[in-house]
Amino acid sequence: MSADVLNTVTAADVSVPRQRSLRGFLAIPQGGFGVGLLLLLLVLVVIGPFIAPDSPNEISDQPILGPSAQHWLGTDSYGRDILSRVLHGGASVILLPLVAVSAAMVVATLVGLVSGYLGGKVDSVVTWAINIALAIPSYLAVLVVVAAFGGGGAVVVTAVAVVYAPYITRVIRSATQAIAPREFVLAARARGETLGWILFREITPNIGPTLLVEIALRFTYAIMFIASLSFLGLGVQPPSANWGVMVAQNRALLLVSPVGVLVPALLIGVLAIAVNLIADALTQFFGDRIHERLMV
Amino acid sequence: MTTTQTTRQDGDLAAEGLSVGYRARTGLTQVLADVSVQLHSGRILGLAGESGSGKSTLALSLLGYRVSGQEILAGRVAFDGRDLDRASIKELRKVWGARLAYLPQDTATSLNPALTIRRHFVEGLRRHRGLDNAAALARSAEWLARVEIPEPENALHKYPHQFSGGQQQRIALALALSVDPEVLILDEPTTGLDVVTQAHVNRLIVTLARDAGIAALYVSHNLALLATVCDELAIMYAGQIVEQGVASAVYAAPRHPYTAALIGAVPTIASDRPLHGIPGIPRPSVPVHTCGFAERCKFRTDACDTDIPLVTLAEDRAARCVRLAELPAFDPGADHAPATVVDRAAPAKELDAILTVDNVGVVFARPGSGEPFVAVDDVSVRVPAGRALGIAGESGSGKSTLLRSIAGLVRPSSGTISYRGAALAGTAGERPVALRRAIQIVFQNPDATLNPRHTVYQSLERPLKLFRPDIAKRGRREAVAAMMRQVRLAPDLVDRYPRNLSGGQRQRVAIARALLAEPEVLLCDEVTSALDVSVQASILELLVGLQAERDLTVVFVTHDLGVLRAVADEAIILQNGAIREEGPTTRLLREPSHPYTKELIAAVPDPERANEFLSGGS
Ligand SMILES: Nc1ncnc2c1ncn2[C@@H]1O[C@H](COP(=O)(O)OP(=O)(O)OP(=O)(O)O)[C@@H](O)[C@H]1O
Ligand code: SF4
Ligand SMILES: [Mg+2]
Repeated sequence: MSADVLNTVTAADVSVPRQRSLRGFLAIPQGGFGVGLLLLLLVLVVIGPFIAPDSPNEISDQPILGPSAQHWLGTDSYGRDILSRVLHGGASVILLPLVAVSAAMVVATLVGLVSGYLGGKVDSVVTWAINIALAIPSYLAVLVVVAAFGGGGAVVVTAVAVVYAPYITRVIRSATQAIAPREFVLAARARGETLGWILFREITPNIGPTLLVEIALRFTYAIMFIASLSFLGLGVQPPSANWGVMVAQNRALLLVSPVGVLVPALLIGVLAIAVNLIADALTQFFGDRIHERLMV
Repeated sequence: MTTTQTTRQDGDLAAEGLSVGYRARTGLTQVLADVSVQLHSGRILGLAGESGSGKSTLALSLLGYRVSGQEILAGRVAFDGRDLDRASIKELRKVWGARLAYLPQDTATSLNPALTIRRHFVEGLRRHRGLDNAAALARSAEWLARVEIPEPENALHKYPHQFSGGQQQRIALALALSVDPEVLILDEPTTGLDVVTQAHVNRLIVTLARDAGIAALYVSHNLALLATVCDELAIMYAGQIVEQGVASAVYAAPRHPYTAALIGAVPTIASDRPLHGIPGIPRPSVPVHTCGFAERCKFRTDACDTDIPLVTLAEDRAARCVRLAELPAFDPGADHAPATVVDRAAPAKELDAILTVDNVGVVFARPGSGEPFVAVDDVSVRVPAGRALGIAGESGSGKSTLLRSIAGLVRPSSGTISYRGAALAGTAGERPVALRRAIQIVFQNPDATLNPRHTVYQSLERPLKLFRPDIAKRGRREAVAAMMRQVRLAPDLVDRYPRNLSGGQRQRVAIARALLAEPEVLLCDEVTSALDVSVQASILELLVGLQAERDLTVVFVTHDLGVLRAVADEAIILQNGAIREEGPTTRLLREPSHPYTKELIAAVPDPERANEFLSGGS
């Protein structure tokens, strides 16, 4: 063996620790179960409209019929087939919170990264704004906005996004502050990298886990929040088929035909639980790695 | 106190043929194999070896302490006629803290932040020594005075966090010794403290332990320190003791190739002996039917592939190597291969300065109080082209801040930094590309110097993209591979993430990243302080070699005067942000004139001047 070979460390000398993979994530009970549930619901929502026997607003029979071979879940007070409405009514329950959280996430990530990295005056202003926003109770704020501008998907989505953004900003900002003084960021600054490179290539990948956990958590809250707004008549407006709206409308029939309330309510619950389980599993999955990162 | 007897046979603690493993999901990994050590009252046994060699595991096993997953596979730990490895937790509680004391590196383990110092002492003295409150208090104050804590009576009412790191470790030492134990196990008790503080704590440890006739085990990776303060020395490698004997003798004339290699990697301030790294990386588990050191040994033959016993060579020397009889006696002082110490003919004064620092000051606002903090205080220095300037001093002396202001990461509050006669802008972002390329910086912490989410290639490609537009995209892989070979990394590591690299490898990648910009000046901030001595030596060897080869100018910050001597032609000594002394490194270390320099030098353990070190230098 020449001296050079002896001196050089090769890949074979260093073992590669177990990689964290999707399989590893699914092996966490909450992860596997949550992903399974969510997939089932997504299948239901996506193919639902194609297999629904009737269109959602079609008056297909007598009002207030109990479950039967023809109408598995019965009909509502207008005589619409409840099963068809359930199969059509999931899309908005998932989509509206998704849009709201995504919008909040984009804004919050930008603001949080910039304020956490630059610090100084920018950060003081952002912190001040966050503190004020967080002092306002979020349900109340959304109710006021929705009451003022009228309900409807667009208004609700905007209101929820605005209310959640400060919470997410706070999380991203502190994650950024933990990464910014690291030596690899200093090295990038010394190389004269642009602000964009430092924020999105050096820092963002390292707060990815925090970001993912936060998205999943906020998504759970938003599902429940927007569904309850729809239930209150402030979100998606009737006659749209939406599980929240259905729970509200069929509430009157609760004693006569409980499935009309129970099934949509249950579906909302399962959706929220599935996402929450995923959030939980993500925390566990990244847990030690987040920890590792804080130790360095 | 009645603890002046120096022989107390009952205090002897011994491991006999001890084998220990850790059980994990993946199976059992054995980390100690057939280890026998004996601690004698009034004597200190030093235990040295590279990281992961099993030192801490042995220390904890000697206490009978069981980490979860840890299994004793063979052998026993005997103390006062008992088997500690089989003792019940109730029996162990009776001896821990009373007869067996433990002083780890982290004082958070030995001091409870929620309790006053008084509570710590009184608790132990009452339980283990049956003293009443008044007697316990008197004894505590006495011990605090003995470890030189100012105003001991007063100190008793304070909380641990109200003391500095060095004081906390001294309090922990007093606490351990106050109950008059028979055995003291020390695991890197001064690692992480400042050099001068380290020396102080070590002097106390040795004097107090000897006076009290305690049998002590001192675990450290610092071989020179152990050779200075210990009576005996055991060298551990891959879970086995490979050499054992009288400390000064082992250090002066090692018999095992590993011991010799390890000593060759220790930087010293006294001699011009060049440093040599140990090639390869430590073996992660105990060897089976072979010599543990075989992969890295220069003297390996086929005869080495067998189970090798620890052979007694003389009355007080044993080693584990099949070729002891035929190998030459190693003399660490007599190595003349030109590895790291480079003697340059031209006096520095006559060379053009490539980098000039003129009256630079850096002041930080202190949050909370109005008083600003002066990190760098009116520093002026010129760095001749192609030379290495060393910056030494204690932590907090402003070394890193000065270096970072040169790199454009900290804007100086006053003064100017010039490169080839032209003033540099305060931050890197304001400097033209050519200047950013010319000055590159390498950092201290191998865990943070690379972006954990970038592969080696992604990290190394960056400087090429920014500073070397002449290299086309297709040529980059080749350039990266060539540079990796230069810093002695196999190019097949190129797609690894930093978490899959060792500390030394990460530091090499960081150096490669800086060199790929083809800099004129390389700034190094404690680049080896987090590494094992053997790895440190090979990184220093690499740096010195590259410097000569590429005619680089190097500015090297370190707290270790031995490292300073190995890399720097000229040096400045900083204290509280100001230069205390400057000059050629060898002269500075041989004939220091400033009292602070003298203090720093006296704090360096030197086995040849052990008595001076223990009596406090001058
Ligand atoms: N609790 C544990 N579980 C599993 N393996 C362990 C555990 N503690 C240590 N090890 C392994 O045992 C071996 C010896 O570790 P040990 O901590 O004794 O080394 P050391 O010589 O003290 O190193 P250092 O100089 O870094 O402190 C290493 O390979 C380490 O990874
Ligand atoms: S036994 Fe062989 S390989 Fe091991 S140290 Fe001795 S000569 Fe080297
Ligand atoms: Mg250890």
